[in-house]
Amino acid sequence: MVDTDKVYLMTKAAMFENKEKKGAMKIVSYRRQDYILYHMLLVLFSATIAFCIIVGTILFLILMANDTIVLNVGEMVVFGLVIAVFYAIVLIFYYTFSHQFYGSRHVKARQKIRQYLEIMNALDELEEKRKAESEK
Amino acid sequence: MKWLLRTREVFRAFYAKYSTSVDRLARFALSLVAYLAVFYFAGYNATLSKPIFAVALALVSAFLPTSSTAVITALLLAIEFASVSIEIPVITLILFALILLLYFVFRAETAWLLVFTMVACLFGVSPAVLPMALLISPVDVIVLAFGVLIYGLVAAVRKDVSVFTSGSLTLGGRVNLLLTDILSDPRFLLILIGIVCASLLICIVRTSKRNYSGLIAIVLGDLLYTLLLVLGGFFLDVTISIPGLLIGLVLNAVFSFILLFVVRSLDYKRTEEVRFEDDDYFYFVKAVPKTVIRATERKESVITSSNPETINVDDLFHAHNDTREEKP
Repeated sequence: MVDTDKVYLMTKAAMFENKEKKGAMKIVSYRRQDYILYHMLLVLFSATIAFCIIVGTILFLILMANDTIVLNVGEMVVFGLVIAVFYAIVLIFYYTFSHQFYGSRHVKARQKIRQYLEIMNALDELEEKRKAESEK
Repeated sequence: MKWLLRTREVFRAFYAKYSTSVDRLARFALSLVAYLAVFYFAGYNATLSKPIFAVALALVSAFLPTSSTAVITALLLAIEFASVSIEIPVITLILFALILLLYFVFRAETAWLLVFTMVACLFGVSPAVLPMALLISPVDVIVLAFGVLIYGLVAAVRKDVSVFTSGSLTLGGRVNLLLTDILSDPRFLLILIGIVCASLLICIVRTSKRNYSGLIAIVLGDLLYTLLLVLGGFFLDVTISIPGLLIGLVLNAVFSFILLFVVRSLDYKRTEEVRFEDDDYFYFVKAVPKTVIRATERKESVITSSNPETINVDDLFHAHNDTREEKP
């Protein structure tokens, strides 16, 4: 005979799994530090490529505006330092932002999973109750 | 107003039943309009710029994630611009790469906004972008700005395509001309400032905790946009078509109302089919969301000593629903 309470709980659990398979369940499968670190590395890599594109474009425009550019060693060092400082600022900005962003995403995913775990606990209790009744 | 409530419930029931198809149809429609806009406004490659390709690509986009429309639009623009001059597709791909690397890495689901904004500006209905601010967060205004930037690029190429293809300028001269055209075009600057400022205002006011914040946001956003365009047109000597602007704003208001009332105010649940098993049975369950459509009107009478008053319960429901909708 079909246990309607059990079907209700299992349906809720299955609907949650379908909906959050690629969402909260995937996020929570990582430890919080691992999840943040993995995505932060991706973001910093993307930011580095974007920075290189922007700097390359600016250098290209400068070269086009001036037929030749003559720099001495000191000026080149200063120019390199300026680029390095801007790069550091970009990295710090994206590091801080991505840490906040992915950290809060992980927290929200864990809150959603808590609801799912409550359903699973209720199912376990139902199963134990059924077993106890069948043993009697 | 009761017919609005019934209409909303009809939409809700329809979406609950056919959500996958509705989403695919919406993606197909947006992709088709975007690709046709690219072929119309930037159709420099005669072999590629055919409506049949737009339909075929839109059909493919309907089955891909929403962000694929932005990627395919970028590639189409690059291929079209390659027929004009080699550096223009490079600049186009650089712009798309920047927004991808700096923003879509966090929120790829907002990629459709970029395409929508570009298309709206190309067709001269830039106020149509403002209702989208009801659906996004303030940070997503960056995507709107990039959409306007892509429009500026397409408009600049269209303006000087004969100069680019004539071969009279060097590589540096063509890049310089393109950048000058984009950055010194007063119409582009007006639209960019108007959309960014109005969208930011709408996003911020919408999330406030007052009643009817959505409606107030749209009205204030429209007023700010109109003011910026009119004042900017006066000071930058740009001709703004006032009847066109007014028609655009009226349509904008209607579209915003529909968005607020039909899209944002409801939690759209979908019909779900799940399968699971236990030791005894296999279960195939179909969960269908409930809808509420009132068959009859309910009236209650409040009789005071002086004036008997009849209250329409549906109006009370509507008033309560409006209050509930405005909560963030």
